[in-house]
Amino acid sequence: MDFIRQWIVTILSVIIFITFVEILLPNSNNRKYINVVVGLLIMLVILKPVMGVINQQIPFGEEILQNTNQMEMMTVKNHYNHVDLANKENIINLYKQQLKEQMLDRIENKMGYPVDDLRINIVEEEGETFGMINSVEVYLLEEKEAENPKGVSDISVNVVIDGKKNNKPDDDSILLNNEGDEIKKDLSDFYSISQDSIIVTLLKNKK
Amino acid sequence: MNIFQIVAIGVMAAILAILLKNHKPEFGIYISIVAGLIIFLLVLSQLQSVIEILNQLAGRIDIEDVYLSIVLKIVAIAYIAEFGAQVCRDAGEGVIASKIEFAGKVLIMVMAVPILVSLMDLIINMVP
Repeated sequence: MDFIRQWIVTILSVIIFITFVEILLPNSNNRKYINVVVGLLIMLVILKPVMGVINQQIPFGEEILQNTNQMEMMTVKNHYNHVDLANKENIINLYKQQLKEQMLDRIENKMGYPVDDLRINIVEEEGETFGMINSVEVYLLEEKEAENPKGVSDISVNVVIDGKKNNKPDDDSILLNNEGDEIKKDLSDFYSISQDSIIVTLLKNKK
Repeated sequence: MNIFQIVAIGVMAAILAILLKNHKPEFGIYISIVAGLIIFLLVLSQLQSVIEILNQLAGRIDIEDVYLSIVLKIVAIAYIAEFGAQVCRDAGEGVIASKIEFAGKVLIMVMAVPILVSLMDLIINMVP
């Protein structure tokens, strides 16, 4: 008898509690969702002692905590994946930056060619080739006239195909092979990439 | 009485907003947002005490704290989301307001999932 009394008291107090909470609720679209949750809760409170009679007492508080923990763990996992992705991107950028600095150092200090820009394209998909260099584009600056070998006077090269200038990356640039070959050979030896994937371009001095 | 203060703030803000509407309509929005915030903050302390008493009541009831704390959390989420949505709607940003309401709904559902799962478990266990 005491058990039934306890049950009724619990149901009544939950209903009173929920009536009070309903007064507090704002008049919004959320109201119906809250009502769903409250309905579930009342069902749980009513059914719990029935379950206790049929079966052994099941610790529902623990189960709810367990479910909450599981959901939180999933959320944290999603967060972690996101952070992991951002981290990977950072690592690739850092790697590219270091590679660029190293190459710049090799070309500028060891070989003595002034570099305007250096673009590196690497394999970013995970796999065995991850981090391998796809291609390197080196943009050299034109050297001082005093360093002009054999005293040859200025040669202006202007490539015109189909009536328009086709020099890349901008119209002021020309391509020289002898410097390019040295750089290509050095980079391809050091980083073991094929010479075809290294593009060396000499930019004319901008006046 | 507190209600006089709140009504006075509300009426003053409304008059100011109407006065400014012809000259600088954008200030009307600022006034309504600030008035809403002030009223909300004034009521917040009272609401807090009510919720505290509810919490004490919940402690006396002979069921697990988890259920009632979930209900209280849901009420708080509903309040905060509703307030944010109303501020956005006052500023004429109905789209952002509906996004806030959507976020509130998602969070309420996240809170409800543990109850739903345990109820499901209970019912499935009861079926022989």
